[in-house]
Amino acid sequence: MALFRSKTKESESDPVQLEGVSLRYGNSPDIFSDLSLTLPARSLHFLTGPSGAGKTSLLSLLYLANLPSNGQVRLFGHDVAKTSRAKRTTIRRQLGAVFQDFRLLDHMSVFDNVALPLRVTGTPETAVQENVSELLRWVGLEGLFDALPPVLSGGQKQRVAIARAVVTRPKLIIADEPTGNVDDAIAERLMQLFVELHKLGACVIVATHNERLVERFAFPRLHMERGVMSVLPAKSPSPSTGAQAG
Amino acid sequence: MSVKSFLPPAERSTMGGFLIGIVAVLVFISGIALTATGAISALVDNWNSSVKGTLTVQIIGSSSTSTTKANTAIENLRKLPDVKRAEIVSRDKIQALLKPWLNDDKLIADLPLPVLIDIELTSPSTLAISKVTAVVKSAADDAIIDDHRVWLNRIADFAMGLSYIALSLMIMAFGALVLTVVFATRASLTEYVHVIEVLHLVGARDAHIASQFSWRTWRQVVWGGMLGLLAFAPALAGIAWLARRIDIGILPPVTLPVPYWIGLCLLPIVAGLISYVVAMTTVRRALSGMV
Repeated sequence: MALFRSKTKESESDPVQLEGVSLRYGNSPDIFSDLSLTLPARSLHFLTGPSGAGKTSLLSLLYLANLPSNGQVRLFGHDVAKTSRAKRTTIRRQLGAVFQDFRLLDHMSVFDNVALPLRVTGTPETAVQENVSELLRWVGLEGLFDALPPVLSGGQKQRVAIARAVVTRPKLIIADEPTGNVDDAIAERLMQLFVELHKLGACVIVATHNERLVERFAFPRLHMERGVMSVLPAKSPSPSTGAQAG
Repeated sequence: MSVKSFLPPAERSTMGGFLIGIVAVLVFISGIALTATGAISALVDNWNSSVKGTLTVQIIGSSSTSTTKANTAIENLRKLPDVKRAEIVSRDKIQALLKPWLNDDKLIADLPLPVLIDIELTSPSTLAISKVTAVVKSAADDAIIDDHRVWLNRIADFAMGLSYIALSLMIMAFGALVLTVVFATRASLTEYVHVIEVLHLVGARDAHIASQFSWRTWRQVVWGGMLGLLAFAPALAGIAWLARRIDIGILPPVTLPVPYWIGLCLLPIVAGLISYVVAMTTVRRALSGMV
């Protein structure tokens, strides 16, 4: 494990690089400040901490819903504050996000929700049909292709949200409480999906309060508390992640 | 890129019906304004073509003296190359012209009528009118020559003034359309902010998101425009019917020109195009405020 890697050419293409990052909303106090973190490709980290610690705010920087108040957020080597809007869109296409509130479009079917990231990038419809169908079957929603989100249970919505986040095989996956509404069996199955994607080369961050999940899947955790982050190693032998935080 | 719309169906939009209704009204108003402009222009053209290059000479006095003077004048006028036609207006024709106004044959028959000479010029120039005036005055120095221009110019100016007012009404209707589309688009942006956020986060480009709104606005405005035009059709038929009932010489039958009909049919399309551009600009401006 290379916890404190020097800044080499290789590290410049790490999916996530935060340097001295602070975030505040308007005139309110900093949610966190001077946060530095590097997450390489092919890594999976849990993001843990009590409610209000700033986990969701940190993730919002990573899925480009916010820009840092101070410091530098680099995604795939690009300083997001200095890149053009067009470039940010290109970056967004390389990441998948699962939100706590799912953010599904209620007027679209389950299938169309999951197909959305493919369709906005102009993926041929045959590929859309193939990939989305396969993924929906994998997450156990094979009978609900045409269902609208309002008729789904919380767990089903969560699986749709996860399927939408990973359907493009993104290089960076940001999941905020992705297993919060499902039972343990499904939570484990969904985590397996993230593990598979991480093995395929993605950088995965999973914010969770589920301690059993963190223990069951031996990956390091980024722990946030009162705006301070620490990197805690996996509780049992885990793959090398190369995470560094300061 | 898929042309599939990612926005909720238009019929669920609270602004959809409002926009269609407002556009229908605005296109109806534009139709009236355009018709007024077209009709007045056609009327003025009609007046111009009917009186341009014609003069009327009036010789007052006893019938025999006036007729002699008139015949002398006509004889001399016909020698001028600028004169195409010069002839005395028969007494019967003058009486027929007076009949709608006086409606009393006996009274008309007793009226001391002047002798009128109707002159048509080959080319209506100031020089030609001067020559005609000189020839007429040499034969009848008390003759009154009316080249129709003064009253025609005044009435044409008045008519064109009305036409400009109608045109400005149409411009204002389109201005109101632009403001309505901006308002409706902003309202839609607020209504669908959650959809925009999701589209944004899954990597949709600004142009793509904006085009979704623009196409929807285009469809609603064209639809509203068609309804407005449909409502205007009976109004136009009514105006035409009323116009036909006016039986006075000053309002000759007006045929609206082909460009008018093309313009009228294109009103919904033009409104749609303006709305498309306005919606596109409004959405792109709003999106530029997002990260």
